[in-house]
Amino acid sequence: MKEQRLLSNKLPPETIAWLQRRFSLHLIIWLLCLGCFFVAWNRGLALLYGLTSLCLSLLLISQLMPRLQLRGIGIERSMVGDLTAGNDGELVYRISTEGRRYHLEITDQLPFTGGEQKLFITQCDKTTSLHTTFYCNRRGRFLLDQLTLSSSYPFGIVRHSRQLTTDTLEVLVLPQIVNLNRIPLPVIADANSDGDLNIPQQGGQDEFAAVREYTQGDSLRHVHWRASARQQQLVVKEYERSDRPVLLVTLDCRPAFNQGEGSRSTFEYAISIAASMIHYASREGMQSMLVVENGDWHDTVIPAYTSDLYDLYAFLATLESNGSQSCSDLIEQAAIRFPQANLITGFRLQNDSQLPVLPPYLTHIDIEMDAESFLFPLRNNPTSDHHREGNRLIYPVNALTPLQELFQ
Amino acid sequence: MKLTSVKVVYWYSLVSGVATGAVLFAYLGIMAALLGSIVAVGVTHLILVLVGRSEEENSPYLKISEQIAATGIILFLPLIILYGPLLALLIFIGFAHLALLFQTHDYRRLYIGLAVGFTALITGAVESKSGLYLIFFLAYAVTISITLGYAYIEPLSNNRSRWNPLDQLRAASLLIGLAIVIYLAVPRFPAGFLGATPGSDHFYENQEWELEAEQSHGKEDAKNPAESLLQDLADKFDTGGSQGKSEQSSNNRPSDSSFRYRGFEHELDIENPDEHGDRFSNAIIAHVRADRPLYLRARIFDRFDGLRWYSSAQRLDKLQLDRGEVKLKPSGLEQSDSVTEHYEVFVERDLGNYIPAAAVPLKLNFPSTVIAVDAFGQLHAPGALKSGTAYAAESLRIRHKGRTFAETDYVDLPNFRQLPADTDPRIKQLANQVAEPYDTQFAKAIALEQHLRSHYDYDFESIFKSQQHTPLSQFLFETKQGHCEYFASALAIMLRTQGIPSRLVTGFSATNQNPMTGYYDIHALDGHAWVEAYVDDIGWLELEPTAYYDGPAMDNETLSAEQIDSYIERQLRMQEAMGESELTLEAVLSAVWQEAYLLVTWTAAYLKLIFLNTWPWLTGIGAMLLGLWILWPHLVPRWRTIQIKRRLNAIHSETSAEAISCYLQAIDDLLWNAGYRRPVGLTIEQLLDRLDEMEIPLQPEKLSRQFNHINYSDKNVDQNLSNYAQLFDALYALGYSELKKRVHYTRAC
Repeated sequence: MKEQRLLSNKLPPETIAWLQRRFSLHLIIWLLCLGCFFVAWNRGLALLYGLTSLCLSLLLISQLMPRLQLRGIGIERSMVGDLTAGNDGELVYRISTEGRRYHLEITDQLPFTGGEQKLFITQCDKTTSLHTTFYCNRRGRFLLDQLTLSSSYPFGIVRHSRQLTTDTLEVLVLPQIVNLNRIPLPVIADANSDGDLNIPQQGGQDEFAAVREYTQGDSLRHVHWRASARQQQLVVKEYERSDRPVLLVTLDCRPAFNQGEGSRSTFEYAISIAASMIHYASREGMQSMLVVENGDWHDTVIPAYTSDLYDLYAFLATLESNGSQSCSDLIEQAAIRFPQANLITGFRLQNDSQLPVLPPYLTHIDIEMDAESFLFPLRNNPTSDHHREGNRLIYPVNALTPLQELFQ
Repeated sequence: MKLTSVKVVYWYSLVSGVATGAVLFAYLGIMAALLGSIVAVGVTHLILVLVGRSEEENSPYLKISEQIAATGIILFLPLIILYGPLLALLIFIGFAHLALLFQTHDYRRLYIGLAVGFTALITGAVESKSGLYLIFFLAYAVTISITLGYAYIEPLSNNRSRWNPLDQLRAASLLIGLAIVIYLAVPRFPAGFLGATPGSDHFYENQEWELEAEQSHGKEDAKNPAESLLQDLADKFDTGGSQGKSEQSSNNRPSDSSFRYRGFEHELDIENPDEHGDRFSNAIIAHVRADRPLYLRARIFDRFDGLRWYSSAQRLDKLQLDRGEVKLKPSGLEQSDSVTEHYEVFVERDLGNYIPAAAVPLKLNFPSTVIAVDAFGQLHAPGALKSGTAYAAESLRIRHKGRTFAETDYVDLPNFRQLPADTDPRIKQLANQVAEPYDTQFAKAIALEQHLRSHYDYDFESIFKSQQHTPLSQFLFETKQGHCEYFASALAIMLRTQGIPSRLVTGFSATNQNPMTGYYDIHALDGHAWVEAYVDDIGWLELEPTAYYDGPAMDNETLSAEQIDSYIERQLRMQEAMGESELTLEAVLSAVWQEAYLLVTWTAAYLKLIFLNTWPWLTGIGAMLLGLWILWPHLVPRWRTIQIKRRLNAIHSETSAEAISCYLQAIDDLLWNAGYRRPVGLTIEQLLDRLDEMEIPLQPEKLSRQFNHINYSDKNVDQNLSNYAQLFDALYALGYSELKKRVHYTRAC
């Protein structure tokens, strides 16, 4: 090892780190200045007094100018569009200054990115807007009201920072929603099928459900001409099949269920799967329900073809794992409360053997989460394929499972 | 961070070029500097581009870098022996910088390279004695400021930074401007002179002298060699030497053993010290580094024959140097008012075999194994001093009654009182007339000196017209103008007519301090003659009868504006004395440079003058601005708070709606002042909620009801707004600091 170091002409990293910590450029210039002054004094050389003055000037400007640069600056933030975990977001900083400013560094702690956003502005006139994109990896509601403004103008020798209080910006990051291609269908307990059936296409034996605004791609056969004439715009008929499944999603909100850290936890994955399933069901004309218990009982019914799920997502965005009811209890109670539901989804840790007792005509989508894979993400955690036990369809999920392929 | 920025590479190359140019200028001159700069810029740029293209881990240039560094280390020792430590260090720095260049993959090494370049600039500044070096300073300041700026912003903006050139210039100007202000304002301390003496290009040897020195060393007694020689000389006079004892000696020529003063021609080829010059070149013949202006004595003459001066001190006593150092006087001479002056002399043009030194020399560091000293204590080198010779000395400057004394020892030689046989009686009459009112020799000597300084003019042309002889009567009573030899001879003779022993001293006036370099420049025209008179048994008083010269000063002054002013004046006068030169390219370039140099010097001088005259004001204003800058964020909001209340009190509202609006505006202003900006669309209820969160005592229901009633009700009823007044007063009573604290606390919650 030592030989290798010598051969590669490298200092040990800890030595480099120590040197970097101790010997800043600022200190080196001070040392040069002192050395220069000593020689100037010892030999009485005016030219060296000149060089000493140059060093002092460099240090003085480096100390003063950043402070001056940071005076009289106000920053406002605004988000562009909704933020969804797992996607890029865009933030606009509107910087207003009392005069022209140079070389400003903005460090903004964005908790939903899992780190800080660093921006650098070479020149800033009285008002400057700055767009920045970032990757959003955490759902939730966040309040942004502070950021750090730094400057080392003009020589980059001394950095001066200032904590800036901004107008409070409330940021709501919706849970990650993946585009599922399909979800399992109801199965009969003694059938051989694993529920891998296609959802029947729209039309046919469907019952008229409602009318909605015409969107591109709708068949002209479904236009409700009379209603269109009445409303002075094209509307189409929506059908609801009598045999279409009704999805019920239950979320286990107990702290014990929340294994892992940050955005990589069983609870976050469960929320993401739940939101994605409801999104799919709604898109495919299925009625769906969400049931959670986080101290209080919450249930939400989402009619078929609901396009605006923002409220549901907002609810999920702020959902915390502080419930007390076990998943099996929750499923059983939800099944009683919503008898029309025939496709019941629940989340369970792999080592949790407590299963709900459901009637045979109900299909139980049992999403079994491997807590170990979330707690130790670097471990190799092989996952088994999905399988069926009676009316229970078991889908094992670990931290590496691609969610969009979950039901394929 | 990997160094990939084109801009940083470009500007760093320029910094390297300027540093290389500066060093080459200090050692080899301007042409080498220009050529070296261009080569350095090209080489640095090329190396950095090549290194930037390679990966640090597998860099093919690592081996080259190591070989260059090893070569530098190997060469360092021989270079120290051959050229001295400074040059060896400089060459080593050059190798180190080149080796580092081949490894400059990241910004860390770039900064190290900049520090190495700066060290080279320091080393060059130690060697350089020319004001032109300042141009390299300026270029360095500009290039380093832009390089540092780009090295800072390029990594932050992924090498796509756009730094306004005007702002680059502004940053560089600020750096230079502030450096000039600091340079002018920072006091200079007397030099420490710790460690090494200046390195000389030449070493002097004389085996005959060394042999003599060894022999005399064996029989050396405690007495000072110069004193022994002087006593011998006095004994010679006593035993009836050729020189008469009487005051009015004959006009006989002195014996052949005397050294005849033949004007400056012998001491220095004043007609043409620069072999490449035209009629006369006022070239710099030496630089002196000292804390005070000095008069460096070369020769002392004691006998005047009416036209020329002669020195009786011809016998030399040889002294061996111990590792280049010799003590000339025993210690313990210091008096309460004396100052030991340490100075260094750098010879730029060939001189005679004397060693110019200020009175009273105590110690000498000279590049030879032996030197000689004459009866008057003057120092002689084993050979004529060549250009490039450097030596250091320590002299005791004795002060008494506000004047400087060359020496305190005295041996009464008849020659110190000797007058030429054909001395014009008018000279004695004039001297009597001037000195009569005074009782002491000291006062008489000063009076005579001042008379010559105030009643006679300096004439450069007389230097060329009357070399080698001094027509005293003509000078004193007819033309009344001449050069230093005339003045000095006249004073010496006038002093002797008053019975005051005197002697003529020739040497160099090192009083012309270059404001740029700090060195005292000795030009050809600074070759000078002055007088020493032994007064009142105190010692040899230095007298400067020529008004053109200021005389050596005792005070430890930093470079004052007046001195700079006088430097320029001297430069202009010297230029004038040199007359018109032929119209050649060299002459034109030289003239342009002179003018530019003078312009810069004038600017520096006046900046300093302004600073000296206004520094209390400037300091006061600076302190005030600083105080204001610090207190501004605390004072202004408090002042605004008071203004808000004053404004509110000044308003007389007609209706309740107007009054409530005024109160709300005032409350808004107080909150805004404390850092809370009310969002647009905030209802009165929400605002009151926020205030409640801030723990401001209020009755939200009443306030909101009253507000809604006044603003949204059809009934125009006057209301008592005491609730709003109380709310405002509560906010106002909290004060700015407390309100700000609450606003922040609420926001944090």
